[in-house]
Amino acid sequence: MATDKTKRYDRQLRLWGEEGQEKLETSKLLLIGANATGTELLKNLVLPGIGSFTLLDNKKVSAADTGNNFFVTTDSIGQSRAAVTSNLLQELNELVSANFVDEDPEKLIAETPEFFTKFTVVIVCELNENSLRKLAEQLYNAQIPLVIVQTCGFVASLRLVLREHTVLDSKPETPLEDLRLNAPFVELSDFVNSFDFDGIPANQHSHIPYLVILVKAITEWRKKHNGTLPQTRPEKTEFQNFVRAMARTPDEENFKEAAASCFKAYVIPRLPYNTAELFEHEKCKNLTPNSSRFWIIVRALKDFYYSDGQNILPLIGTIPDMHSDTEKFVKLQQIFHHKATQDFERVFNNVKSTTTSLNLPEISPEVVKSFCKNSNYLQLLSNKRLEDEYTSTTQLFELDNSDDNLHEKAFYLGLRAVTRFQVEYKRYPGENDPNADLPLFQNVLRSLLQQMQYPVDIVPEQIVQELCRSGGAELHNIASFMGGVGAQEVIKILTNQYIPLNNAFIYNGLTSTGSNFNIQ
Amino acid sequence: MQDKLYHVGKIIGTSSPFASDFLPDSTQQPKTRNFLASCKILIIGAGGLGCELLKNLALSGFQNINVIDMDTIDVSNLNRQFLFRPQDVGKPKAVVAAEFINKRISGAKVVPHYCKIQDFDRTFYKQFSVIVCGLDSIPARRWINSMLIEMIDFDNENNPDPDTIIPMVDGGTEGFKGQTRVILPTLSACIECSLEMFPPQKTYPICTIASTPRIPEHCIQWASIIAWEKEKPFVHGDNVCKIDTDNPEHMLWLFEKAKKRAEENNIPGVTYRLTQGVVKNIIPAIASTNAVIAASCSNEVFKIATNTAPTLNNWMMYNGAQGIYTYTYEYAKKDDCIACGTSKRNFEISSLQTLEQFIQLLADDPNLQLKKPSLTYDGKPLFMSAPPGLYEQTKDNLNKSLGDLITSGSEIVLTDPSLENVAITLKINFI
Repeated sequence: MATDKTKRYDRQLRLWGEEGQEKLETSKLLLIGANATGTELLKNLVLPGIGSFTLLDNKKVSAADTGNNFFVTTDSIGQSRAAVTSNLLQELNELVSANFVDEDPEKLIAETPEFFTKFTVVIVCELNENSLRKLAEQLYNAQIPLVIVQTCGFVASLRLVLREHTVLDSKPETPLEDLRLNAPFVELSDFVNSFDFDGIPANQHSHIPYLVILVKAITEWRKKHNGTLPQTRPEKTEFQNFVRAMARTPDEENFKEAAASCFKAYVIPRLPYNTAELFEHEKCKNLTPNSSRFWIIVRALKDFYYSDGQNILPLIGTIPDMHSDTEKFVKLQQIFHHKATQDFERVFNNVKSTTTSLNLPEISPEVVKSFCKNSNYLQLLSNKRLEDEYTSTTQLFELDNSDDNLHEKAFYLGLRAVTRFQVEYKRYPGENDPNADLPLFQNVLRSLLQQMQYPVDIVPEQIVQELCRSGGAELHNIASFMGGVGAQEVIKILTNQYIPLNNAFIYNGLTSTGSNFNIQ
Repeated sequence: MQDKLYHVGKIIGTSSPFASDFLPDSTQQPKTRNFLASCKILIIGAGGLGCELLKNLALSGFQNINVIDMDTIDVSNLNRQFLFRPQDVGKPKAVVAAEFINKRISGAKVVPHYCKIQDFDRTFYKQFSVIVCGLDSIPARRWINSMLIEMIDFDNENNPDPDTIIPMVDGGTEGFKGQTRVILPTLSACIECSLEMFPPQKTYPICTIASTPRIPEHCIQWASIIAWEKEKPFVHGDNVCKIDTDNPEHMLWLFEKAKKRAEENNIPGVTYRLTQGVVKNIIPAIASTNAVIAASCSNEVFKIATNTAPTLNNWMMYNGAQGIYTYTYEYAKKDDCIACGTSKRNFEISSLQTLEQFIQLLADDPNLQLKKPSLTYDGKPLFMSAPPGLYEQTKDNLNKSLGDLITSGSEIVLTDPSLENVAITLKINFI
């Protein structure tokens, strides 16, 4: 990457790396609705350098826009909102390609559906419900992720529709340690056995890495306990004392570390639930010439797991820092690195035989290596069609008065009633007269709740009144908050790193609380 | 002509079932709108959070905004500090940010201050209705926190005068994580009450760095701590240069030294990026997280100023890495907080410990983290970190045992540059 770009993007490359950045830079995004929410969302994608964006909006810049939208100016009032905002967004990053379409989104969705299927991700911040549903169908069929943001006064919602999203690296807060203490591979056993614990001089003894100490300790324990691992609390205490007793003096740092980490010696590697799900997936079991790279490699991992791996995923290959001298630690690192490479080579051979037999292009070793390193962190997210939510005659999610997130979930249902109201009355509830609109809004909400078999009083009255008095106001702070959250989700979708929302989120700016939940 | 403040107007012009004591504006009596236009807000920091805060407040109806930042613009800021452009590199952040906002948003009157927060005193800070911080430094937070506490007047019964309490909203981010908090000094948990939530920076044991390096970070700290001291690679006249992390020559020297040491020890992984990360303590940062946290801070400032909805009480944590996780809770105020507490903090220690050992404990304690304290006992100086004259007079006390200097149950009064505005009283009990 050119040094200018490396410097400019340094702070974000430390999160998603060059690989993630490349995926951002080749993306083509569509935003429908150049309002405050939409432009704030796009800002947070233009700054980190997405490939291109297209803004679809047919409104004119209004005075109200100048009060809540950063990407318009007072002298642009009356001009095309799409043109003005697109220009001021482009100005944030000369490396991004900006486009706009000054047309009615409803018309385009009805008449030119093929316009929408050339984008990587589609983001909707302003669109009537009927057109949204039509668009959602087209995108789902084309396997294009859809991100929907809606704000109303102090409250906002985010909804993702991901037909099938693969996470290649979930990047957990505390990465797994893969140390094989109670199932040491040959080179590790040999290395451990090369240590003469009783004979070596004091300053060598105090630099034996705890990893080696624990392998030795657990191996000896098993000999004395019929091959079993410590299971009960007394056994675990006994094991810890056993480890402590191996030290020559109470000052030896490495033995202190070993005692503190002794639980690692009786942890048994388990196949993570997410990875197991992938192994059982129909697309893993049945590979065809149409199979994606993802499924081919997952299958190769699965085959490795059940044969050469002996029911353990490929060795991750890194070890944590631990008290030791340079030579011993580096040697240990090399042993782990070497074994990880061997495991990778077996997986890679599986991949190669598949691509050869299916007559598919080769997959690069780098990609396979990455899968091996992250095999514990793979995930598949799949959502149903948005239409299923809108036609649902059963509850979208469980909700009762004792729910910790009652207000947030109730706001979600309330916001659904807001868009339904807009279809019927062609305005926001409360837009002109909150008092007059309140009973009308209550009716719309009631029918919606009845349709989905919710008790009609499940949405507290305060929530209904709050939404109605807001009159569809788009507060900049709330728009900006959701612009941040929405952009973050788009980045996760594009890079296949970290885990996207699955699949609904509400932000309540009255109480500064949030809640996420899954809509089936 | 449509109202520019249409959206905000809808909210301040109607009543909310969640804010029973809020009186909505009417066209004849736009009191909230007028207050928004006339009150003064201070933003501390014009960086990742600061740029967002400026935009947010200007688009919420606030007009009189002051912003302080002592830094100039760097290329690596451009991925998120959206008020700056490549041609602005090198210019003061506060000045460029203020100019951009004043030009883009009509009615905005942002006044920049290119200086340190410590350059101002209470006469400056007392003009603001709310202070919102987008800082990247714990010491700076502690300083402004202690300033606001010190500005509060108390009556004879130790009740704070509400007119002298200035609310402080504080935000922080790191990668996909962040937090927003609202501090009502002396009424709710302050920065010092929650100091243990900010653990000090990661350092490695000096013997590891010197003798048994194992990971690339050890090699980098060897270069910056040991090799630099020994070789004094850059001189300016008679003065040996301290490491200037913004100087590419210094950074390159460190990188090459670290790489050589790593190669000699067969340790992979020393890169220029890692070297920068370790030496500068770089925290990953992206536009989206800054947007989230700054927006929630601005939302609190808006609610505090207008009373249109309840205020955050008092801490919201955010993590957008795996799904979207938020957690809102009330962090408890500490009665014996060294800055805002009403009861004195007790400190238990053996009488055999020396004064020097005691002072080291003050630095190491995660709840205190006082690095350069000056102590007085019974009105007389026990030990003064500064100025040099007083240091010379008192340094001999360092080797004396506490039992020789004070009695159990004594109160020691401390000051420290991190909290230069408050005097801290510790009650020492011998165990």
